[in-house]
Amino acid sequence: MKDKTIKLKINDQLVEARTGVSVLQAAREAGIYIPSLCELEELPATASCRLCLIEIKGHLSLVPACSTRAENGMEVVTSSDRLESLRLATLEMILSEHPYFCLICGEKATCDDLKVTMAKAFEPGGCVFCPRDGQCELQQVASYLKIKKVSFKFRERSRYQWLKDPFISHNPNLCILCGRCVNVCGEIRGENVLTVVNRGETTAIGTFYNRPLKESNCSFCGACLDVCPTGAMSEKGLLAARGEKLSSQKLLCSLCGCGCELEIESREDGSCRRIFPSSQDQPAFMSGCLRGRFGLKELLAGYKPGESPYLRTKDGVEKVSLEEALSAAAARLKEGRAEETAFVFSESAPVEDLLAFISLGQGFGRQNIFWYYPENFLSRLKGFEEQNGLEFDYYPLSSGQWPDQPCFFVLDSDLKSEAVTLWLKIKKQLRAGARLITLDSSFNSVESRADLKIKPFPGKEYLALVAIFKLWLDKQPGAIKFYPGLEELTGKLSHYQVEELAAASGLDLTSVEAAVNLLAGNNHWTFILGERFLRQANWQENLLAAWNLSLALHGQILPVCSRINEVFLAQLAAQGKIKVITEVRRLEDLIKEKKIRHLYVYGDLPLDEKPEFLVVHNHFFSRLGKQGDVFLPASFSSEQGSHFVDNSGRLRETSFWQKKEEKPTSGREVFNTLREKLGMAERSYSANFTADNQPESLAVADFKIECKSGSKRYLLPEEMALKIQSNLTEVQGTVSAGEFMIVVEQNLDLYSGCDLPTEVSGYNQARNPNLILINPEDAGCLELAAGQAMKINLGKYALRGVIKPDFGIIPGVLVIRPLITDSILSDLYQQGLIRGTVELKND
Amino acid sequence: MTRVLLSERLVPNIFHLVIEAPEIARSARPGQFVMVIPDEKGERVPINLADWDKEQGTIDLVFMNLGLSTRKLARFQPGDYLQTVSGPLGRPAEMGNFGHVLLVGGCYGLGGLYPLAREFKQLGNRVTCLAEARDENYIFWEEKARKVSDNYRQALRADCFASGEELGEIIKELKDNSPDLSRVVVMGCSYLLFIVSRITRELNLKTMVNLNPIMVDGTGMCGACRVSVNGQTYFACVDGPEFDGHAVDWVEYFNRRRAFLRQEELALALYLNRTLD
Repeated sequence: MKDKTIKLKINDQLVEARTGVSVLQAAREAGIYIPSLCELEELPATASCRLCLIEIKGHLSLVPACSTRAENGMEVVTSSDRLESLRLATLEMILSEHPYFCLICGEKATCDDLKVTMAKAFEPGGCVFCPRDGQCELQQVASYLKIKKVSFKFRERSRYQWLKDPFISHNPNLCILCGRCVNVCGEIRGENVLTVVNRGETTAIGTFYNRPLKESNCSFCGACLDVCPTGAMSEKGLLAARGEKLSSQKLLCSLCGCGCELEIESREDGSCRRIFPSSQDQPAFMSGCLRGRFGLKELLAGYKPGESPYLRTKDGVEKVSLEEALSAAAARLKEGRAEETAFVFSESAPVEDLLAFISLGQGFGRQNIFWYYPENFLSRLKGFEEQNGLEFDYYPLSSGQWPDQPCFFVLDSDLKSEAVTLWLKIKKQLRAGARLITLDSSFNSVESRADLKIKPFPGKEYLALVAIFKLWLDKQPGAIKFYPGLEELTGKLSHYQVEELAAASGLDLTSVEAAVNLLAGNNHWTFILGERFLRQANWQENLLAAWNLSLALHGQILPVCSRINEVFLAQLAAQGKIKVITEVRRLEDLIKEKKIRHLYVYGDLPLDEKPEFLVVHNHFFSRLGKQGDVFLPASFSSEQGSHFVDNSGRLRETSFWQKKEEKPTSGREVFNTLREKLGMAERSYSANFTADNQPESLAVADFKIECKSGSKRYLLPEEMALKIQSNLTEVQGTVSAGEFMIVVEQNLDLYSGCDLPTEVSGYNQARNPNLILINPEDAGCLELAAGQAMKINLGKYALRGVIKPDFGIIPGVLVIRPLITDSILSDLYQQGLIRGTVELKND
Repeated sequence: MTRVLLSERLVPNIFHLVIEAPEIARSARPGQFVMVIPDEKGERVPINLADWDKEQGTIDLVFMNLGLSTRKLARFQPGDYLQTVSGPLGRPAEMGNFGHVLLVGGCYGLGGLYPLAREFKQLGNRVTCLAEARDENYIFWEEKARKVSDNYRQALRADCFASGEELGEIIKELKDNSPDLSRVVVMGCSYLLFIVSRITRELNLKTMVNLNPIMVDGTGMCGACRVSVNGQTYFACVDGPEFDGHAVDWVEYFNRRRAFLRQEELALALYLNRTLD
């Protein structure tokens, strides 16, 4: 935002404001209240409630403050008898359709003390029954305007409530049609699920064909709940907190790499009332998603940090104290040989605890400390750079500053599900005129917002990129930035025709032309790479093509990490301090060959082969936990001053524990006790990993993998000729025979072994991991209907799921998002693209 | 299993069920209630008898869609079967010829008071019905009530400030105009019971309140509905539900009323997130 300021007079008070802000915003920043029910900062002003009318000297008519830009020298009056009487009349009109009786009732004070029993009604006929009572903006405005009566006859709308969706309910009878939910859904979130339907007195908030949200591609981000001024949009099952003493705590969500700041509202007994995004820097609706907001709430309700450790004995599983469990674990770990003991962890614990775990593992030698990283994303990127002696220009996401008029080229990344906060930042740029191209072979929920969507065949992304490069080279060779290798590349590409490259990638020439026009016509391109771009057999070709294109444009590369701590751990792996394990099968082989006899898993692992001795240390008593010889409960980021590293590489602090429980034992404490029992020296861990006594000296700053001999040069695609030729003749599966190319997408709903769709009631309805997305024409060809159960034959393995036709899927392709719960699925996930046959016979 | 014959939404939040229950219809008396279990996993919920038809063998239930069980009940359609309906339970209201009787009803009480009005009228009383609601949109069965009463009045919140017709003023006016007004019966939400009792205490008017809202089990087993009346403990379900409003310990009553609030809310939230069709 520009710092230029303007000066204006509001109610005879001289006020300074930033250029470009509305009068309402300028007044608010100066501490002057103007009632409003439809305006919210960051939302486009709609001026629908008409409560913020103001007088401006020199203007003949009254104007709404929210949609009037503050100008230098303006003289504004925000409150006068005329204005207040107009506002009162407007409010009366709004209230004539909203059950207002409690607002004007003389017995409200007495009733307030006694009404604790009434906050649950199906159709609130007054504030006393409303889930939003006490937090309603209509109540605030009514009390500011001191409303005493409503002159209009009350019209009961008697509309049906929305009850078919999980987590979100809508009561149209309480709606004042401010339009905030529609705005936030479309403009901010890019969902476009909610809309205004009908006209005149039947106007209402609705969806396409009035389908339930769960059938309208709603992502259940909950932003509509954050903006609704009344109880019309409310969290399902949440009731007004009357007479309850609430306390709130901040928690950094560690369910994905975004690291949204959440606020947990707890009741006196420590139970969680609600969770909502809350940040000082931005409005609540600019972050948060289904997972953190609704998923975490139920997990916390069912999660007991004090749950006792388990020990497997001859007679079965036995609950023991932490001390006993640790002694048993230490005794067995001591017995084993160091090289036959492995330490495996997943990323979900705080950084300090991970470091403590790694340090514990180092006590057994460096060779067997593994990070389970099935995406292998940043490590592949780093490996590629090193191998080719390159230095990528990474976009420093943590700086939070985009260049003027940025442009985005998104490659195989469904930003909404992989990095929602990044998507919201990009969406904001799009509103300001930024350009967006998406190139995705699979389902992508942001492509509807793109200036251009390119849909190549899965695994042929690089050909599409080469085709774009080649066409540009043919059209405007001078526009391509010069770096060494350009001539060789030009020479190599001269053997190919754009048409054949495009055809081999499954594109028509028009979209390649459109891409070239967009790329050539705009500057400041950022290439956003999703993990799926590199989780396929052709990942090196993909990266090479993306690199060449970004070089030609002077573009930057922004890898989108979807897991928390991923940036940090990739750095550790690059320094050789830990090993990355991507396939569980490799670990299983080592166990089978008896090369690993003792295994300590911190977090979760889809392991099917049990070693001789298994310690599982996890938040949840997961599938693996049940197989363990020792199970240790892990704390839920509970330690004061714990840290996580988010997807922009920033170190973020969190501290939270449920007050109803005793403060749980943190990972650090557990590992230190273990060290003691194993005869190692005690260590302490803090977030600024610079102190001399720290085992790892780390600079957790912007993610940038250092490359000493890095250079910038174009890379030559190897054996391209062969691949194109074989591709030209290759058939992309025979749909009529049920043969498909299957894209295995990432699913972050499995957190530390806890399967959210199963554990959280209603979650399955919002996001079903068993859906098989298919092109509607393919579905028609195979006579498959939406919601039908289906089986995909993968040779040795069969996948079951439910059909969901979607036009975002290209013909011949199926998209699945399984939760990786066992090693076979882990194998499929590794491959990224697989071939399979749809079994048409019902079994 | 009991068959539902009619299900309707009378006004926002208030529902009306007509169900087949000939035995209950045969022996029902005004002021009594039935215990309903909506489905096999349902809890017991006491609901006032709003009317019955001995010949047809049906009973009418009017209830407020408030918690988990009433929400389940509101979803019943004609032809569906309720798990169980048992009754009539509770002592019938004290009837007799008192001269002039005032019946004050609010929300579900507008239904529950109807049999009392009918019987009081048959016994030769002059009957005044006073319907309390937030707005006329929330008033139902007006025609029915008018047929069995000599005087029908409404006290609306929407008018509170406009015409100054607050509940107290209406009752006072009735008392002033009719010296033989000797009895008030109130049915509705706990707050209404309390407020009317407070008003009539000053006017020295005998007031009977129906303490249905705090019942859990309804047969005297659970004891959740203990109320102190004149310092003595009674069970609202078997000793009531009708008690002297001036003698009830209201502070204790309201505390008891919220005893299971947290559990009620939790059950409702769980139910809402699990039933999505």
